Amino acid sequence: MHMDIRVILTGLFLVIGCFLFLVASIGVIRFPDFFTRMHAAGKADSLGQACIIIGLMIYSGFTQVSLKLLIIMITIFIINTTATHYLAKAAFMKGVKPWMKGNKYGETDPFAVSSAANVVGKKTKAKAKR
Amino acid sequence: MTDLAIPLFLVVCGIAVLLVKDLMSSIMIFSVYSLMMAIEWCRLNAVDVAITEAAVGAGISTVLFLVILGRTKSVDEGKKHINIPALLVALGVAAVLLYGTMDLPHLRDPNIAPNTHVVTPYYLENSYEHAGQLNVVASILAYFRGYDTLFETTVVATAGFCLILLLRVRNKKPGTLDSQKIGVTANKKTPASIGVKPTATFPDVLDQDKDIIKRTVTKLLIPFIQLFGLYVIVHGELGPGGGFQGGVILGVSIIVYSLVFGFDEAKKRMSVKTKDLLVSSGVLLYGGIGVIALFMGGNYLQYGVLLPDPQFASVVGIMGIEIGVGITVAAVMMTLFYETVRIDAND
Repeated sequence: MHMDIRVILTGLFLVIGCFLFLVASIGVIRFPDFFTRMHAAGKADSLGQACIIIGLMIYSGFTQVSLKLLIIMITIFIINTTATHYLAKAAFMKGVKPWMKGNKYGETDPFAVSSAANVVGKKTKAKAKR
Repeated sequence: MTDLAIPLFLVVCGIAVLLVKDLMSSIMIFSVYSLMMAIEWCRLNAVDVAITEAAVGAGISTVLFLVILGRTKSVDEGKKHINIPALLVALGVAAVLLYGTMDLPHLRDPNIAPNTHVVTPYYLENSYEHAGQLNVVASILAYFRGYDTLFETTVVATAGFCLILLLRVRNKKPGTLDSQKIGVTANKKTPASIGVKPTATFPDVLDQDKDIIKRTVTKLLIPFIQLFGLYVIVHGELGPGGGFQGGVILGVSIIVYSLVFGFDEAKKRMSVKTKDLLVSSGVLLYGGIGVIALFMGGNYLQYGVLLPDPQFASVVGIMGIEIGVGITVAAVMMTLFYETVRIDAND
């Protein structure tokens, strides 16, 4: 079976990129608050896309297509990191509190509806006991 | 699989836009909807439409919605009630549209109307010979159907004029804008006013004027955005794109500048007067090329008579009208933004 070294390298980079995206997706679901979730998503969007695009560049070789891919990669690198920075800043200015050590899971998360409801439910139960 | 996945996601997005209470989230979902729509257009090989959808639907309209949202409340406080007549009308329209889709051909059907119509082989065979265009879409838009595109551009320019007439006259009347002014001042919330104590570790985070990151990144990106816009306009004869798409991208570059550096700075770069002139000058360029063709002894918009070599003349003429379309569309996109933001500037 004929296996080009280029194809192998492409596959390697694509696998790394997909792995980063998978890890980031798990992180977005599992992390406790907005800032840590964005931290996970930002990694995927910068490093993950870079790996995938590098893989595609290796696959297409030294052509105009790889030049365009390179431009796309650099653009996403710049824009995505800036966007992540401003998302964090906007959330901070809006008053989203960062998750601290000792907080329960989802305690400072305005979007985790079910877990917030659980926390409230526990508090009311505790009050009832008193 | 993707035949179904993207339309399903679109339907989910459409329902979510209606159900979400927070209007900000609603706008974001709508932006996602537009991006998915662009992917769908891409998949259907309509790359020109995809570029427009991504730039206008996901870009400019989101920004305009956010600007308008800044003047109102972002939470829908209305009671949940179902308006029965409105529901019936909506369902009726949906039923009619669904009935209409039954006449649409299947995806990848080779016997669709454009493939069997008598005029199609003529366009395909004569695109390069008459219009000098390798991209048949460009030759149909600019050469065989030049009148249609001229009137489309006129419609876009007319929309720009209507915006100017409707919104600018209202600005000059003092007293009518009090409620909006209150909305604007109420919107300028400092972190202290919303109950957040800035921590000592982030003093510069809250200082907008010292914010160097967005300024640097914008300065870095705007030349490339504009270059890409020009590329899309000029490259329209070979690849996807053309005056409409490139114009939108050029307009976006000014909007981005205005968003980051402020409306006053943007007016120094692109003054309101220049922009107003550009709206009409694009159409003038398009119509003017047609008139020049008349004077050279041809028909209106017959580019072949402009220069001795008819094929090269067509290429030049089509380039000219694409640039005209681009100027008008870019200026109208700026008008959309300028006239919406203008009340903020109190001028």
